[in-house]
Formats: sequence, C-alpha cells, structure tokens
Amino acid sequence: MTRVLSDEAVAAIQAERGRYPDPRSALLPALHIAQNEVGWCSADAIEDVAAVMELPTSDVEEVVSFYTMFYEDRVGSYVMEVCKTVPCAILGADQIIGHIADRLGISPGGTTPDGMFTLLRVECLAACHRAPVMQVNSRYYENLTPERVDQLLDLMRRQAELRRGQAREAPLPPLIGRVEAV
Amino acid sequence: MAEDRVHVTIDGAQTEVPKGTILWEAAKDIGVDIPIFCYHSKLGPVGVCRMCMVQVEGMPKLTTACTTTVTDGMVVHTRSPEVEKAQRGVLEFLLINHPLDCPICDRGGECPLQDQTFQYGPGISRFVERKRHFVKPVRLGPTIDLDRERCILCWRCVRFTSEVAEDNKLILVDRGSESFIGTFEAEPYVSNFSGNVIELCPVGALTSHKQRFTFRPWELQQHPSICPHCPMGCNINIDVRDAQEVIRFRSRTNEAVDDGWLCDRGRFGYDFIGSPDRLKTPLIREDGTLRPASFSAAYRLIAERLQRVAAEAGPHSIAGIASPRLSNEDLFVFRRFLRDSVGSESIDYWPRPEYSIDSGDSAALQTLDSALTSIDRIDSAALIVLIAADPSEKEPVMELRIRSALNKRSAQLVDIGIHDVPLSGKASAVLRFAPDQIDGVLRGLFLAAAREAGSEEFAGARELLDGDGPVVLLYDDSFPDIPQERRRDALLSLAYMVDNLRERRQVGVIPLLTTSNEMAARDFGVMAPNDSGSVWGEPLVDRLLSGDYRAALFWGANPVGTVAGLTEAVEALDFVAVSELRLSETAGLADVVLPASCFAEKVGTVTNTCRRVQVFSEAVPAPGMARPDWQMLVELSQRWDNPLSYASPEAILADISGSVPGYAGRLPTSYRRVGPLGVAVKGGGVEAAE
Amino acid sequence: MAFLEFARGLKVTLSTMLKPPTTIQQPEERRVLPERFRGKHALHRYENNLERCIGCFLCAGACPAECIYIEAAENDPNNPVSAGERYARIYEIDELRCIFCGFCEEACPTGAITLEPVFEMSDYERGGMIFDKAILLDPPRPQAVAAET
Repeated sequence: MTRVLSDEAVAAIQAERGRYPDPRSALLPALHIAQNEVGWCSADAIEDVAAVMELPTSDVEEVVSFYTMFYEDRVGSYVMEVCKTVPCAILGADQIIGHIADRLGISPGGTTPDGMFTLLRVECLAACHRAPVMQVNSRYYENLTPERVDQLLDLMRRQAELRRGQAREAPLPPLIGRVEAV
Repeated sequence: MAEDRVHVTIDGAQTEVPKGTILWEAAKDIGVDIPIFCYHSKLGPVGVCRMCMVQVEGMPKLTTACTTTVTDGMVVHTRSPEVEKAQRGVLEFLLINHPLDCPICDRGGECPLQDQTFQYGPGISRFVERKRHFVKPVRLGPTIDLDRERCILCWRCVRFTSEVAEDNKLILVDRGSESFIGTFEAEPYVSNFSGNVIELCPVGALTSHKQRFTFRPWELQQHPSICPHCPMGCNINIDVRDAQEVIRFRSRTNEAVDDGWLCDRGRFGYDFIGSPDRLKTPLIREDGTLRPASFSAAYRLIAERLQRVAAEAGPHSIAGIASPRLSNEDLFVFRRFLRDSVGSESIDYWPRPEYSIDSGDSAALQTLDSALTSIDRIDSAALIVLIAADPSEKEPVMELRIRSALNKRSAQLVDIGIHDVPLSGKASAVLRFAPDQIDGVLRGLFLAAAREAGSEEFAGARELLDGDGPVVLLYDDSFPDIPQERRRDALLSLAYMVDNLRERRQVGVIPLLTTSNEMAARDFGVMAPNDSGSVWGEPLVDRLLSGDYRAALFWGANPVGTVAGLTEAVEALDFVAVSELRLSETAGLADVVLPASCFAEKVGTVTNTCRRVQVFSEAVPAPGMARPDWQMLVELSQRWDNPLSYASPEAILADISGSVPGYAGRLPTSYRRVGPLGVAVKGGGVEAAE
Repeated sequence: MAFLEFARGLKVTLSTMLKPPTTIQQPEERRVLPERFRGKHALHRYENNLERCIGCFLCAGACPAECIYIEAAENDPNNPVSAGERYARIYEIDELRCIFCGFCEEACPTGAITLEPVFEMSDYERGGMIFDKAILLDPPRPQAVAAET
C-alpha cells in the first residue's frame, strides 16, 4: 500500500514501466509523476515510488538527489530556478539572485514563510544567448535585470491573489511567455 | 595456445592469462603494481577513480587497467612518462578536496591514498581555492563514523552494500562536485557486515567508531587467528599493541572459508579478551565464598574429591561437560582426561542440540556426515537449499557466500522453513510449513504418493530439486523453531531427503552449528553417546537434572542460568569444578574454579562447520596465572594413576592426527604444516562424488 | 728521555695555569646555552589558548627511546581542548629515558612540542621524572585571542 501516491499515480507509473525494455528505466518519469502529485520528493513519496518500481529506496534516493529538478525539500508555489553557470554568471546572475533574495528575504535554497516562493540556483538552463535566465515552474524568463525581476515578482503575487479569488474582477495578467512581452 | 588463453606483454614481461581477465589482475599476477582506489577484486570494475591509467599500444589514449579486459597480443606500459603524468594529475585532483588531516586520521599510516601519493603523487598541490567542507565526523551507524571531507568517492562502500551485502544501505547523494556518501533519509547504517566498509575504504572516510582515536597502525603487530564467534571459522588478524592489548580484529582472506569478509559480530567481538573481570588465579570455596588459591591446592582438592566420589559411587557418577568453544587440543585432552584418567564415560558438551537419537538411527547420521561438503562448494552449486536454517543469524558470512553464488554464478535458492529469513528474498522457491510438519514436508518432496497428489505448494521446490547440477543443503541441526519432540524426526527426514537426492544429483550438506568448535566436540566424542555408542545420546545436562550424578566438571560451559532447574541440581552435587574465563553463573556455584586462557592467548586449532582445521596463534599473554585448558588438565591428571603426558599443544595435535577417525592421515602433525589457511579433513559430499 | 716526557707534560700545565677557568659556579653562575640546546620538553598553545597538540602519536612513533606515552580522545565541539577533532588526553614523557635527540620536535605536525634550554631536572623518585601535561604544557595566556579556527 502506498502512503502518499494516489491510485491514479500508481497506475501511471505502472504504465510507464511497461514502456521500457528494462522497467527500471521508468524511474525518472515515475519520479516526475510522484513530484507532480506530492509537490516534492518527500521520503514517503520516495518510498512509494520504490515500492511501485520494485527498487531499493536508496536507489531512488540516489536518483532524486542527483537531479536538481527533483526537490528534496518542500518548495513554494513558484520555484524560481536561476541559472548559475558561466554565461549567466558573467552577465550578472549573482546580482539577480541577490536581488531576489533581498526582495523575498530568503537565501538561495530557501522558501518564503508564506510558502509562495522558493529560490534555487541551478546548472545551465541552455538559454545562454539570453543570459541571465531563470526558470519559474517550467517556464523560461530571459535577459533578466533587477527591474524585470521586480515586475515578475509583482506579477506572480497578483496572480496568486487572483487564484485565491481576492481580486476576481481584475483581468488575469499574462504570466506565460518571455519577460520582454510583459 | 589454448583457445581460452591470451598473451599479454606488461612492461616487457610476457604472461598468459585466461580470456576475459581484467588487465589489472593480469599485471598483479606477474608482480606489476598498478595503483588503484575504486577497483577491488571482490567488487568488480567501475572505473571512477582513474588512478589505474595505463598505456596500451595501439590505443589513442590512456585507458583504465581496471575496466580493460586483456586481449591477445596486447602490449601494456604502466610506467611510461604519459602514465606517470596521468597518475600525478589524478592524485592532484583527488587531493583537491582531501583535508590532509593525516595526523588525526585513524587511517593514517595504513592509508592507500597516503601511500600512493608518496609513490606516484606530484608532491605539491596547485590548488589554492577553498576546499569543500562538511561537518566531521558524522555517525553513520552504531559502528561507523563517516568523514565526508576525506572521501574520494570511489564507491567501494556503496558497491559493497548493493552488490555483496545487498542491503543497499549506503548511497551516493547529490552529484558532481557536491556528491557525498550517505544513507536514505540519513537513517543509521545498521548491518551485520558494516565493519567491512572500514577495510574497503581506501582513505580515512569510513572509520570504526569503537576504535576511534585509540591507536595508530604502526604500533600494531598482527597475529593470524580464527574468529571464535561461530563455526564458520572466518580467518582474522588480531592486531595487538605492545604485545598485550588487543586493539582490533581484521579479516584475513581465505577463499575456501570467508572470501575475505568478516561480520560485525566477529569484527567487534573482542572485548572479552582484555576484560577486567577475567579470572586471574584459581579459586577455592572456603566457608561458602570463593577465595584465591594456588594451582597445586586447587588440583589437590579436585583430585581428592573426585577420587572419593569415584570410590563411593563409581567413576561414571562424575560428569564432564565441556564448552564447544574450546580448541581441538583442549577438547581432545578433556575427553582423554575423563576417559583415561578419571575413568568416566559421562561426557558431553553444552550448548548442544537438545534431542537424542537411537542406535537404529545411526545410518542417518552417517548419511549426513558422508555428504558433508566444504564452504567453497557453495560457489559451484547449481542449487542451494536452506532447511529450517538462517545463515544470517548463525553464520553471517555464509549469507554473503550464498548471495555471491546466486548473483555471480546463477545458482538458485530454495528456502524450506518456518519463517522468512534475510535470504528468503533471493529464493526462487519458498516452502513454508507449520513447525511440527517438517518431517512430512521433507519426505513429501520425495514420496511418490505426495508427488502424484501434487500438492501445490511443493511444486516450485520440487521442480528445482528435480533439476541438474550439484546441490548444497544447509541445515541447522539444533532445529530451534521445531518442537523438541519433532527434532529427531526432522534429522531423520533430512537424511532421507539427502539419500533420495543423491540418487540423481551431487549433494553436499553444510550443517549450521551453533558454537565455534562444535564439529570437533562431536568428532572427538565429547558428546554423550547413545546406546550404540555413536555420539548423539540424551544431553548430559538433562540427566544432571535427574540427580544421577555426584560430581561434575564444567570446562568452559555455562549451562546454569540458561537451563531451568539446573542451579538446584548443581548445588546438590557433592563436588563441582569449573574452568572459565570469568566468574560465570556456573562458576559461581563451583567448589573450585580454574582460570583459563582464551583463544587469543594460546596456540591451537579449531575445526569449522565443514571440518576444516585451522590454526590460531598466541597474540597476547593470558591474564594473571590463567593457563590453557589442556595444560591444566594435563597437570591435574598427574594426580591419577593414568596421567596424561603432553608437553606441548603440538604433541596433542600429533595425537589427534594419529588417532581421531577422519583426522588420521589428513591432519598434519605440526602447526606449521597445517599452514595459515588450514586443511580440510574428512571431506565428503560433492568432493567425494567427483 | 723520561725528563723530556715530563717537561712536555709540564708545558701544558704551565701554559694553561694562568688562563681563566672553564668551570663555572653552577647554580650561582649560569652558562649561556647555545640557541638550539635540547633540554626539557614543552607543549605549546595557540594564541587562543587551544593546545597545539592533537594527540597524533607521531612524536611517540619517531621517538627512538620510546619514552612518550599518549592517549588520544575526541574534543567536545563546544569546549575544545585543541583545534580539530582530536586531542591528547594523556601526554607523558619519561625524561629519564629520553635521549634528547629532538626527533619528536621534528615529527610534530603542529609545532606543539619543543625542547627548551632547560637541563636542571631532578627528583628523589623515578616516578617524578615522568612529566605529564601539568608540567609540560605552557600555562594559558591571560589575554586569550578570541577563538578563531
């Protein structure tokens, strides 16, 4: 019996297992399914995945810890992953990270107390031609400057408020897309 | 040249090796030393440390000797300038994050990283940046401390837990420059075999918590010995400081026995040797309390009282119960002392299986005995069968041996037993039954009626038993989970099973005995005989309870406190003499207590569960006046009309080699000729069938 | 011939008779010891009063007279005795056995032990010549620099 995974998630993982000659190969998709459902790779989620995948928990933990896109700690609604690799670093990634950290009052790796933002430093996001770049919940925001980050943070806050239904009459601002378009 | 052999030239020297040999092993065989960290013969290649770079002619770049298999005509250079440059580079990289705290590191002095840096390293580092830092040390579990700064990420420990012990406890967390060794959710690393990672670690990252900061390797002298904690007889080195303090046990590879591993019970079970409560002088009971006395007074009293009892009630009213922990020499002299000097046949060992068999059943014992095989036969078995046996509990290193056979040589495992054991997960077929059904199950596997009836749960096990190839059966003849009245039937059914199986396959059996030298106790007749004279009568301890005896000698055995009602029975005896390491419950009731030396304090041999006789040597002096048991018995026997006359343990060995059936003619008469790895005596089973 | 030998001997006597004496009135007078004189051992501290000795046994290993006895122990991280994880819980030198070769000083990786220009050591018992940390260790500095390791 799984602890945190729903029957649908278990079924989805089983389906993934069937797609590979070696069922073990389905571990990455399985972890994505688990993370989408739980929000992060908690110990319970890892144990559930290990049980469904018929692997030792330690093997699953190794994979989770290897890939930065699997979160080993609880994360906020918006996970801001700022690239820390060389081209971004040259074009001011540290400044961006410092700015976000100042604005949110957290350090890289931390989550705001309201559970809204998590700030992470990650390896190359493969958009060096528009460095510095950041990924928020699987969407790219490029050519970042502190001002644009401010804009973006405000947008995200407003969107979250909208989602909570506190300002339902205001139009939903576009969050999807590049920052230039905002 | 045979088809399966290939020629290789390493540093100008030609050699011929079997096809598929790893280059590093081929070089080692002809004495060419290629430095390694991650490779280990028992763990297989992984190629992560990059230390074993060599130049192979025809290859564009350097290659790792640990992942390259030898091909015919290969020409290899291990000391060319390119190789030396690579070695210097790899070492410089490995040392980038290494803290160089050798002076406070327990590994310093026996550290492969230290040694190879001296031998192959650059001497200086150009790394001026900040090293990565971790909290140091962290407690990985009850036995191991982990210092992640020192780790060079060779994965040896991770591979040990995933490939050898298969408990998957240690993992590599995170990745790249940030990776480190840990456990899932930082759970403690608890395992029967955790101590092995201390020896596997090529740096000081995994160190023993128990021995932390207590010694430096260069202070220690090694003494080859045999682990005294189970009848497997794993080879060990006892490391001793200043010729008097036992610091640690380490594994000593014997391919025929332990395959190079040692369990934690053996590795950390040495505290009793230097324990302050060891007996240092003989004790004699005066006015109800035990007081120190001289040996001659103690011997005089024992002789007087035993001779008085013998005169009044006959010598057979004197019972002798030995511990199967004693050496071959001690047990042999104990039996001779009782039989030849005292004249008593009332002799047994304790703890022993708590059931007896009759003369009519002797054939069953002979069947099992003739099928006895050696531990390394597990490696070549096609089928391994556990019969109500848990190797992990009784003889832990046997578990590793079985796992290795199952993984590397595609053997199959059948688990016939009452409850799950750690190995059950590896079984191809599992057969569970109620405790009182064991004989029915073992016979049912072979009875024609049961076969035709085709009971469903038998099908899987039977199919495997009907296959081809050698079989090794492991059983626990104390049958701990079986009701006492069914144990004899269980043993007979087991013999029936072996008999049947032998008709079409090679069968070897390995009994999982309880105490280290139990096999020798049986071989030497230190076990109560049944009515036909073969050893397996009613346990003498049970008969003590019925009050048939007037005096008793307990030689290392401590049944009081374990056997219900024995305290009163022993108190009722006229005279009790005990030889012990410390004041045990039994010794507390004795009239005379003699201080014995333990296995680390004397020379001797032990016979393991597969009848391999191995030598242990004297590592430390005995505390106070403590003496070897054989010596005390010989000295004591001088007060009888038929004294024993052994001057040294080697003289006893010669006598054993000359007189004990099965040992005669096979066991050499000197310790030197028995050698560091021991000799097998009276090997039956698979070996005999071939 | 005998006279010649006698005169030759007397020559030495006469030539040194009027020179100042080499002996001194120890202990009223003190000889100036050479800078690298090797005498009684001393164990030192860092500026922050932590002991330099880490109990690594290297001095004991180097000692040809085997006169150094050490037992190491683990530092309490909140109240460390030395820098790092390990310190010498017991450190004893048998000064009667010591041959003052200075190998311990050479072996020491932290500069904890030195041989000082002190040679006046005596006792009425042999046991008193086994110096432990109470004798060997420098007293703590009164104004310790704040711990920074």
